[in-house]
Amino acid sequence: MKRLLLAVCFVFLIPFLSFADEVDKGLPADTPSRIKESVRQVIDLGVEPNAVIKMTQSMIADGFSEQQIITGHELLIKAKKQNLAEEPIINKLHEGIAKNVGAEDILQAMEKVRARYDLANTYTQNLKTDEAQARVMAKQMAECMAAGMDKGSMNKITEMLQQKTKNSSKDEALKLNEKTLETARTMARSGVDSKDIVDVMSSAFKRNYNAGEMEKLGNTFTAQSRGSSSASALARAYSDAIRNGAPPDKLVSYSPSMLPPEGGFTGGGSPPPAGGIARGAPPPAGGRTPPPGGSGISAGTSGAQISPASAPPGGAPGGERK
Amino acid sequence: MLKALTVICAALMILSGCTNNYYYQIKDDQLHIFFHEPRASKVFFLSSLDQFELHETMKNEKGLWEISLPSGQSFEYFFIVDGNLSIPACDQKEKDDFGFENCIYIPEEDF
Repeated sequence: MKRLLLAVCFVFLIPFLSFADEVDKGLPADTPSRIKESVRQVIDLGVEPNAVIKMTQSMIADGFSEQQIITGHELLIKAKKQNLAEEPIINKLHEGIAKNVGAEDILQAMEKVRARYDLANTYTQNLKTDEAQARVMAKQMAECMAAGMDKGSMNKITEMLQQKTKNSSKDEALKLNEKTLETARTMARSGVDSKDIVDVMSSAFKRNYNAGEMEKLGNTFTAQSRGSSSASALARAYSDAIRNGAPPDKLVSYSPSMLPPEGGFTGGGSPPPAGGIARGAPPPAGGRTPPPGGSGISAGTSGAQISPASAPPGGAPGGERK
Repeated sequence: MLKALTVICAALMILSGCTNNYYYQIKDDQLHIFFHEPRASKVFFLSSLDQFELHETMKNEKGLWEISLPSGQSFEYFFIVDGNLSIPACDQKEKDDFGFENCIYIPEEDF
């Protein structure tokens, strides 16, 4: 009986022992035990172990102090306890390191990301949605705010959606929520002022745009705003047009001067070089094939896989650490 | 006559916001981003696809810096041009919380 009990205890201990191994193996031998303990706490909360270890390795290599590393972990713990996505917070850390930003500024930026997701999470609770979609919507809202939409405007759009979907079926509400936020995000990322985004949405709701129409509105805006010098002016033109009863498929005629260049050149770039490279054009004979394995990111002409190891030592090339 | 045409062209470019310096294309499920930085000697590409790892870009025969990525996903990105952060004149951007901006690539099928 005693033996059996010991065996059962051993089996239950295996996962914990293997975590400990992973943390010990993944971090430099001289890593302070406080940091290792903090890593284990984050992992125990369900954050992917490799992500936490990689994040900690990066902070150590970048010269974060022990306390700063622990603060980084605490941010993740807080996010996880609030049921927020941790990936954008971890990504912000790696982005900051790549941009050669100082440790304190990186931690502040990570907190800003967490706060945006927290706020977005609060907003989604007022909407008719389910748990899976609430996460998607929180991400869309956080991205709207990252693109520059102010909190007040985000709240107004949420309130309008709440009002609009009050008597809709759950399915209709989910679709309208998704397409509205997608369109708002596109506009915010295109540089449209928050107030103008709210105006467009308000006009569309007053004209009873459904999810499909909201999607068309977003598509038309995306196409027309490419290469446009003033996305806000385009949004204002849309707002007026919708107020005057324009259906989404007629919006394209409201700002002919902002039509994309002929040939559908995309990406906002300068015209393609002679030979006419167009998006989605069939590849020329003998065209490059995707490089195998890895992240699939490779340098242009050689087609050779460039691994992160090819980066110059000391993080971002050029410039001193702040 | 030529001078007048040049002025008109320049004015049209300014009015149309045609200050763009990049474009992209999709070939064989790969997204190719081309970036025009004629005076640069080294250009790195970083994106949220792989937690902002550095990837050195190659200058192609047309003098454009080129990078190939898997297509079909949206991501944020920026370049490091001779040690300085840089983004092309992309249509969609976000603030990066560090006082700079990132470009955002959205696959067409997402719209």
